Amino acid sequence: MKMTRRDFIKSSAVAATAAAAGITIPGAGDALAAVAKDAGVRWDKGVCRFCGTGCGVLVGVKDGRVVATQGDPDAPVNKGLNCIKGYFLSKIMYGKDRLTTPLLRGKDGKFDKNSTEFSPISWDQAFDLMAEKTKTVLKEKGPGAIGMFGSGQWTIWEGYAAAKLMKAGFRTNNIDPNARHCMASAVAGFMRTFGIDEPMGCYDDAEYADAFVLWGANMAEMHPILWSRVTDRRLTGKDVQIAVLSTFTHRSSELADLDIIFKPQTDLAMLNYIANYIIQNNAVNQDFVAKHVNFKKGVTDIGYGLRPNHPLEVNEMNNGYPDAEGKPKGDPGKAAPISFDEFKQFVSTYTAEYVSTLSGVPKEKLEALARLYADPKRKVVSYWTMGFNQHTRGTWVNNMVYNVHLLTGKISAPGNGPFSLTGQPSACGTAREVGTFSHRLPADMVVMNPKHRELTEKLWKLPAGTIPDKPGFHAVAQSRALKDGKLNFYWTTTTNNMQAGPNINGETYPGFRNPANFIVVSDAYPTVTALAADLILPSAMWVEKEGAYGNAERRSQFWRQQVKAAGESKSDLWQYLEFSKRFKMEEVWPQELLDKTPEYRGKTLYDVLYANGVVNKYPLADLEKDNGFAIKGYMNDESKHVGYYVQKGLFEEYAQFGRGHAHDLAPFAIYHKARGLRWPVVNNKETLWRFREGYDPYVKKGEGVRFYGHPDGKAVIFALPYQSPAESPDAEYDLWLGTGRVLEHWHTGTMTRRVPELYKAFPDAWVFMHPKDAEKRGLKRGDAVKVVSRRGEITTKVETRGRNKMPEGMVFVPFFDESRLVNKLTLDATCPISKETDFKKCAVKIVKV
Amino acid sequence: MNIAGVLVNSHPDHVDSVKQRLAAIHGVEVHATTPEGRIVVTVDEDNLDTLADTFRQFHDLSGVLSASMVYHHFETDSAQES
Repeated sequence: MKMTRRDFIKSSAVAATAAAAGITIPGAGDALAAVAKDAGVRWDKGVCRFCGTGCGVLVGVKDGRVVATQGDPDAPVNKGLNCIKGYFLSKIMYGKDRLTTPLLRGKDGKFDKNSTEFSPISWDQAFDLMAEKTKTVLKEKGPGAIGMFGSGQWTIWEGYAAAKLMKAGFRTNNIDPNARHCMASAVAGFMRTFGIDEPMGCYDDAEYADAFVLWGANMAEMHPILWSRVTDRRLTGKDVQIAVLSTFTHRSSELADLDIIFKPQTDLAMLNYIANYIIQNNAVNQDFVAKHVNFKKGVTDIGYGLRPNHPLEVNEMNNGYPDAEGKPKGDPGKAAPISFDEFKQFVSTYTAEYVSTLSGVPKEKLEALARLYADPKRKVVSYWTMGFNQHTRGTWVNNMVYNVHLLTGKISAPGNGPFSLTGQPSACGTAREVGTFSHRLPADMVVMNPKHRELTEKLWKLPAGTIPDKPGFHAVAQSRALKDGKLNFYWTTTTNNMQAGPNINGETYPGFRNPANFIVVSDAYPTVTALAADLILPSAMWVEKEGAYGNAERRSQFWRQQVKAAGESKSDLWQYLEFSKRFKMEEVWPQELLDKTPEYRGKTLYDVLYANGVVNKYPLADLEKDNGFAIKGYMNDESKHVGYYVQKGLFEEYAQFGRGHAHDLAPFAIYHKARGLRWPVVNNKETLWRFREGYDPYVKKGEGVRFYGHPDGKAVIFALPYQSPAESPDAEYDLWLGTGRVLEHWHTGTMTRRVPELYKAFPDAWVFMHPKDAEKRGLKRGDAVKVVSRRGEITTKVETRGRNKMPEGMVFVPFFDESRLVNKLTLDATCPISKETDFKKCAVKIVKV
Repeated sequence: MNIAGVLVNSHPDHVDSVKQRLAAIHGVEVHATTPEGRIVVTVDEDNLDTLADTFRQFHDLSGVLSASMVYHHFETDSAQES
């Protein structure tokens, strides 16, 4: 019988799946080889557009359209596997309501802040208007009234070009990524404990560990491919155990040997209990601690990152705000050295009895958890994501999990280590490494440090004093400044903050609609944020442009442009470059800076920032040279437009910051061949475990372990207490609300909700609650209800079954659903050190509609 | 034409029962299993709505720990059987 095309495709599907499972099926290899040659489809390597795992995908293009994607069998991250979102990647660019032309608020292309309509305009008109608004704001208020909000979805060069445009060009540090809402606490935790950002270990730890502890991470849904590696280890390894800690039961709990449900915020107390247990049971790795660790005690009256006049802030002496007389109060990150004995004394009050009462976790379970860490023979990996990071004590709780790994020396070794997962594809690669935060510069440098500014100004060929020396507005502060009329020109790209940010009713929406402000939103689809803007710019997405992301294990990964962007949409990089051409240096820089660099007079921001001899160094011929092996005659749209290989130039200029400084990146062209490389990459060799001799080229022979982020080579264990959250349930608002994601949707659903299959798989965000909580309120599954907080209300339906099983007193609403904006309810309280919002804890009530 | 290759991880003690439950779903074929609980599955389903439901069902089956898409081929009708 002749094999039909359907049979052929199916046998290919079987072959690929069997290969991923490590099973040999006769004839499978032939089927795969045949499909690789399948006429008409061009396959090339790419990177998934969604979470921070960074799975490699093969992208199939036919007739200028992406028609297929599959897990890349050669990608070390996912070894051919893909989650349901990755499976439907091929469809994210083809939603029916894709934006294809710039749209201005107002009729007939005339701007009207009060209009409810948008009308199409040309790119030229859009940039003219943006430039006019920017120049007016610069003249009237200065650079401090200009701002940009981006994300961990910026490609590396887009984030770099944006940061340079704002910090060097417009001379404002008011640029921040949505990563502030996502892993700023992880960053602050790393910087405080280790003096250098990002995990020491890598995903390979999943194949070596004897125990996995999940602290506020539902990996089964949010990092499914990494979870499949953990699952594999659990089922095939000898005596491998998994502990899942969460405020409710979810899919990851199904694999848990130790399933711990705790009351919100008490993770702080549990970590101090574990430290106490380790000390009391003589499980401290004395040698390791003596050689590699310092002890410090942090200040504790640090507030909750609310507005300075909020009652919870007024009496806090170390919240970083000005006091009543305008004098600055203390730094919330301040800490003083203590001894091991003082630390021992500090955690001694965190007994099993006390912590069990506080957390609601039975004593036996707490002890079983502590034993996993204390047992010297057991290799332990701790994973966490938003449960830790989105926390008013997020920096502390990151510091505290490091305490436990440092006390036992279980760190920086295969199968042993604390591992901070990320939620976005380039939260690490762009937001963190490039330094797109309001206080950061590339390679972990900060704007407050004169030496860091000096080095940056030198590499960017800028006169001394160009980069402002104070941090700009961070994410939550931007929303507040918009509302207060202090930030007047605002450009949001690659993110959807009107849906994802906190307290939308109270801060963000009034800020966008403030008549004093002009708001620009670049996006591929008409998101809630775009529809609240004054000007919408249509953006190219994913493989419509050449890109690079960096995942959670320090792996930098590149992809080539595969297809043309939809309609007139353009990449964010193109938008920044074109916008910069509209400004003469005299319009943006003061006289004194131009006196120092008279050669810049008469030039544009584009000339000074991008056509600077470095970014424009690589000719168009390099595109074919670096990529011709994969796509013959390769070209990308941005390079074609500017006449040089702009991505290569931006990358190579940026890479200078890290080379020789423990953030080494390989030469550009190598990444277009490799399935990603984990930095530091020295002599083309990647680093799997940092800080350990034999793995990390920055640790010298004989040093063993060196936490070289701090000058003395030591990490810090912090004495920090349990403190209650900013808002807790009371008689009226009697339930905890936590928000988060679901497997099928990524973040606000801008992409995944436009894939019909994913939309149908999880169409609406219902409120998950315990059946008894429902019953008490006279509710049953499917009933329409209002979820109400002090800040707003949404209408949804009750879910008492399904994947999340809530304890009594706590409800969960996913945030992907734009028809139910759960962030109308959330409180904009942040960790005062990291400025990251706590989306996991606020108080609500639920009433029948 | 919508064809997917899916790797299902099940608890090793429940491989057989999971296999049976998977095979009972419309459009699903089980091609191989391993003692560690890995199951090689294809889904052949033209109706997109049904396809989405099928994936959902995988996760909801008792004994299933995870389901990962490995291979996906999608062609519109015009391009089919060429």
